[in-house]
Amino acid sequence: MSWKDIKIDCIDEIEKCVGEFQISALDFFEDLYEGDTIHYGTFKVKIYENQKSDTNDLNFTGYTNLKLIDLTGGFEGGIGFGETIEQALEDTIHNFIDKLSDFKKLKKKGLDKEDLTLVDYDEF
Amino acid sequence: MKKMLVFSLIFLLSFSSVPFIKNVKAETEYDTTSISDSTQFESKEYNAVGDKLESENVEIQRDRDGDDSYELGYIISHGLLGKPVSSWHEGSFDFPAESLVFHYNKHKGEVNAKSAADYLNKAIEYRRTAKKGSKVSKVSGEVSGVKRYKKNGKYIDLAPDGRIVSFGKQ
Repeated sequence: MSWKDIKIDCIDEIEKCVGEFQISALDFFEDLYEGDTIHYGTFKVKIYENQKSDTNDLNFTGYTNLKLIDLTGGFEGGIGFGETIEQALEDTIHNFIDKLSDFKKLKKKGLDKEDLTLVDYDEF
Repeated sequence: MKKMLVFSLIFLLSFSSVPFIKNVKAETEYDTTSISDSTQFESKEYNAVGDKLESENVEIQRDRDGDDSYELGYIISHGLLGKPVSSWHEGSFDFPAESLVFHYNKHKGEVNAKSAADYLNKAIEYRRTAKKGSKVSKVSGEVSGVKRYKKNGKYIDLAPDGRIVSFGKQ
């Protein structure tokens, strides 16, 4: 029996963490920040696989542990999807890089330490 | 006489075949190099779309009433091809993408979404984080059993199967 076949009444969904990656982008982050301090130069991406297995659905989803903080106090990181772990990882990194670049354009100056946060290990 | 015939036959063959082959080769080379930049660009674009469709395993199907084709066209025209549209609930609409685009147009300013795909991404990520420390209430509407999760000034409405019904600012 596969873990994808497990169905329990009171459980909404089961996902399997199938990968964790450490991403470094020192040059990119150096340009991103205001001033000469690189507050965060690396981040992690976790890839989860969902239980769907029969369709063309994108079964793999990636999330970053480094997130942007918006004006409401909420935070938003990179997210990506794919039919494979690799596709989801690539999509997640592209999404996060685009999001950070857009945020810098919107802010019209470099990012500060307060613009980003690292979420707890069990929250991404 | 026989020798004459053989000689003339060889002569004819060598005269006709060699230059002909050279000409074909020259024309082929000419054709390859004479493709204009725009043609190459179009060709690349066409291939990119083809590769994309192939990689996404998209099959264009024509139903008797054309519904599937319409839905696929709708998804492509709104930049949602290859996006996890099935995470969205169709609600009172015919298919999920239609509902998603409706809610995107309604709430895009609230959540600073620059496209329907971006709005979907934000909703999916919020769905994940909103389940911790959020306030829950029931929502009545077209879909029964929908619950609203509120946190950090935003909300997300989720159907019992976990699909997203709406996402926006409180």
